[in-house]
Amino acid sequence: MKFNKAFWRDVRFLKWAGQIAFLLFIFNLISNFVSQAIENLNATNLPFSWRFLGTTPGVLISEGFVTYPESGLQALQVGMANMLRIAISGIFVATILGTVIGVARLSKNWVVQRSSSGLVETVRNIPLLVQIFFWQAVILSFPRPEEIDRGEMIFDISAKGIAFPWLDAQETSWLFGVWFILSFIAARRIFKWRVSVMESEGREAYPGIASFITFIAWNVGGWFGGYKAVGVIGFVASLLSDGFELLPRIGIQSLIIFIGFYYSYKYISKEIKRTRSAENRGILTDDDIFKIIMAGLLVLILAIGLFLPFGITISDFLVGDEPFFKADWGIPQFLDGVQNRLNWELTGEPFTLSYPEIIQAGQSKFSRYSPDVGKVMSVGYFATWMGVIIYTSVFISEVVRSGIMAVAKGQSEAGLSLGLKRSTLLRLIVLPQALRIMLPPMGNQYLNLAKNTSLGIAVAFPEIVAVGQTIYNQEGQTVAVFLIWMAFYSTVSLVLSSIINYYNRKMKMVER
Amino acid sequence: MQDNKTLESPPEVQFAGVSRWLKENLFSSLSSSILTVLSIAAVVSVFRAIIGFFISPEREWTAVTYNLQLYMVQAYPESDFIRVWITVGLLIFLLGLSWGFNSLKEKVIIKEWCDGLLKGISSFLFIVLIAPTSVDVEGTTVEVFSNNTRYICLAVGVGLILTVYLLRKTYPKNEIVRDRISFLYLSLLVGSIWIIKVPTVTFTSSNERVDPDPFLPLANTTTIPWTIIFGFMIFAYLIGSFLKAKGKNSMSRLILSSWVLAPLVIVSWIYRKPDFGMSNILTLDIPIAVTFSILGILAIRTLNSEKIVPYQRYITYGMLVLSIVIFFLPVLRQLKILFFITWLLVSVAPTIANSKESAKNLSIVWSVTVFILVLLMRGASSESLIVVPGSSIYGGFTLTWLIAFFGIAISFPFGVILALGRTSKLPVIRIICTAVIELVRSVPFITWLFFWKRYAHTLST
Repeated sequence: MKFNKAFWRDVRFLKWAGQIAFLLFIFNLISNFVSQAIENLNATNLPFSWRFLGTTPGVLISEGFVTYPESGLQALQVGMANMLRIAISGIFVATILGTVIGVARLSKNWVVQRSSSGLVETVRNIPLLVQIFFWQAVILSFPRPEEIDRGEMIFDISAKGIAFPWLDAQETSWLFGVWFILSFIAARRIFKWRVSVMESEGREAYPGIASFITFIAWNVGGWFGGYKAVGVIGFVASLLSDGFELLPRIGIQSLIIFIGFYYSYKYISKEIKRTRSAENRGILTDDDIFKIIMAGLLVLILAIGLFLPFGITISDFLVGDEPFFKADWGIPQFLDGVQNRLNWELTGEPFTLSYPEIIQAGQSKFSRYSPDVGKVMSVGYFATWMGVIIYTSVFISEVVRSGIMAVAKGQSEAGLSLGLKRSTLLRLIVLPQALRIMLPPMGNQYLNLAKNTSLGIAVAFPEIVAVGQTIYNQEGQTVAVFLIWMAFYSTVSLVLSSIINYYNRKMKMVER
Repeated sequence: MQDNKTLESPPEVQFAGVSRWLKENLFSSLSSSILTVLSIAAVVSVFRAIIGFFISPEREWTAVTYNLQLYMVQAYPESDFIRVWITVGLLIFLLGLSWGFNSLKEKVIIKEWCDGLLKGISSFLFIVLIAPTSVDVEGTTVEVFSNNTRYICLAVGVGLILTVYLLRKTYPKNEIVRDRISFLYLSLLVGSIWIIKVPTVTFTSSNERVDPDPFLPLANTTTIPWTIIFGFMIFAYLIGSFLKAKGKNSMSRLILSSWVLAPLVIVSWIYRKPDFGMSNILTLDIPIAVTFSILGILAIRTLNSEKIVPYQRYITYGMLVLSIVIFFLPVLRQLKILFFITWLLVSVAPTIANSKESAKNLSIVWSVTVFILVLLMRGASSESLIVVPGSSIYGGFTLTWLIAFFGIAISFPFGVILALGRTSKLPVIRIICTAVIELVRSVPFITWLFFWKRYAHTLST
């Protein structure tokens, strides 16, 4: 770089000096912040460590796939699973409910329109926490299970929750599950094929009916043994797993590093190539230099990290005694698991139906639902789920309403003048355009829903925040638990927003 | 874009063609009729369930009426309640003032007002009609809303409807100022607190709870202050309207700054009851304030004179260095801040005070600011005479509005800084700002609550 005046007055120098100063300032701020906390933790005889992830916490989690977790990590995993249960089912139900309310608000029927507006205005002006407490109070106002004799039951509500029949997964359920997912793909294929027939030959080819029949036939055939075809995946997995065990550890590390270097090389060369256009004239901006440096730096850190005893405490719980990073990332174990679950030698029905029962709670005079048969929606789950769903669905309804209203009226008039039915008009003309407008705000609502599940702590629903709090109250490892919370919620948000972004790109209008 | 009105606004109610309206909006087709019947059934049953839930004796509403004081101010000592009332009165006075000043004096046609009233009263009648007579409490049926009460409510409602309908018929074209309607509603509200009776927990002389809970009128300590405050509000509204009519447009800035100042005054002086010591104010604060206001006025006068102009820049830099030095010296906190403010004044005064008129205005603003700042800091840095054992003096609704106010005031500029940083062309700043934004917004609020609580806890141990 050539400076033609005093360098401290050169804007290039000032820009970078300022940024470095800012970086140092932020770094100093954070390190002060962290070191203060760590110093104080050390003073209280509780130095920062990840060891609690491996030890048994000895706490009881009221619901989840494990109630007496063996390790801190497993306890947190139960919390994550509980949170995801509410978030995923909540997103589906809230979308459907929100669409219904949104369409109802646009209805020409006075009663429907007025009552849905009233619902939206009431629900969205009350804090979510209050609503969750309300739903808890509602379910607690039902009589306790021991107060009324119920006899044989199929569906039941009491102060202990809601019980209903449930499909119990058997050995072959994984096989059938994969078969079930494949059925969607098959039905979609048939639908597209019939549509193409309809378009090319100009005759009615019944795409909807054909794909529905395929779906039913595929699954009925699967239930009575057809699912065994999925065992091929398990067989391939076993071959892969054997292959992996033959590879030396150094080979896997080198492979990962090679892939890293390859992609960083491609990225850098793409960035440089991009600037060689007429308008950029081969000049690299600050941004480009920064991106290139970062791409190189990241792959270097990856390469060094893979060969160093990096973070012994982390690897301790990943592999046990080995002080080195686990180089195969647990892939053989995963493949073995796939092989065991998707084994074509397994037989029997994939699911059996079981009904809820009321049993005595320990030696006390109280009774509760049996955890083994049927499915029980506990009070905490119900209150959180209901609160989150109703609260989010009114916001989704506003998104839906604005999306539909933003489609120009001329579009639907044009469709009507072509002689389309109202349902076809909605499906083919209005909704595709409305969806494009609705998607980004909808994604925001999904993120809000996922975050709002953390309020379940108020009604003692053991999701990740509640479990984490229990654990740090016991072990004193607040900083570690906070880091896990942040990592978990950031991952959930990132995954959700990348799904939404993917659909957004797919739905975007092709612009020329 | 399509005409929003066609979708949003409810269909006009026309009394002339009720059957036509019903046909168009409720029974236009077979599916619409089925939808109407189903949704009416759904609305009625949901309302019945919700009303039954809320008026059931299991809900124990006396827990709310008995603890209302706790909800409002938590553990604030009762002997100092006059301070709470002054706070409320100050804020409502300001509300009335800005209402009167900014009111557009819109006029409403009596017919339209009556239509709104009719809608409201008929919703009330609807709820009275469908409210359940009795609810199920642990297997036994308890009467909660007797039919006699229902008939009385219905009679009152029908009477009101007739009155409003007559009013609507008699003066269909006359107009009324909207603010008067609001004051009518408010005075009805204030009047009602003298009349209504609420169930309250009471104890006999031998300290046994009276059962069932008797309905008692509200205490005088509630009704009298609210009535006085309401009077003040009307008074403030009249002052505001008067000032507006006189065309005092500078008042709008004064009202805005009072809104900014009021919470600060409340926090530093009214709510805390500071142990300031009159001698401190007389010997320390007033001399400091007088000195600084004179200094500032001198600066405003002289900085634009031709002799000083070449040295302006050096004076500004000198002032900055001086204020930084003083910031690290062990002197009164008031001085540290005043020096910084003086530096700000010195750096902006030459641009703002470029004419005689504006120099005069700036001098007035400066002196007032200095006095207010000194007094606020005196109040905030003095010991509080009100001590609440085991908790803060802020609690309940007071805490809610204080946090809301200061939260908005602090988060808005901070948000602007982050937004600017995110759009910056400098990569380091942009990436750090983006990281902060994405991290904070992807993690739920309650997690941050625990985080800062635990962090404060770690620092204090």
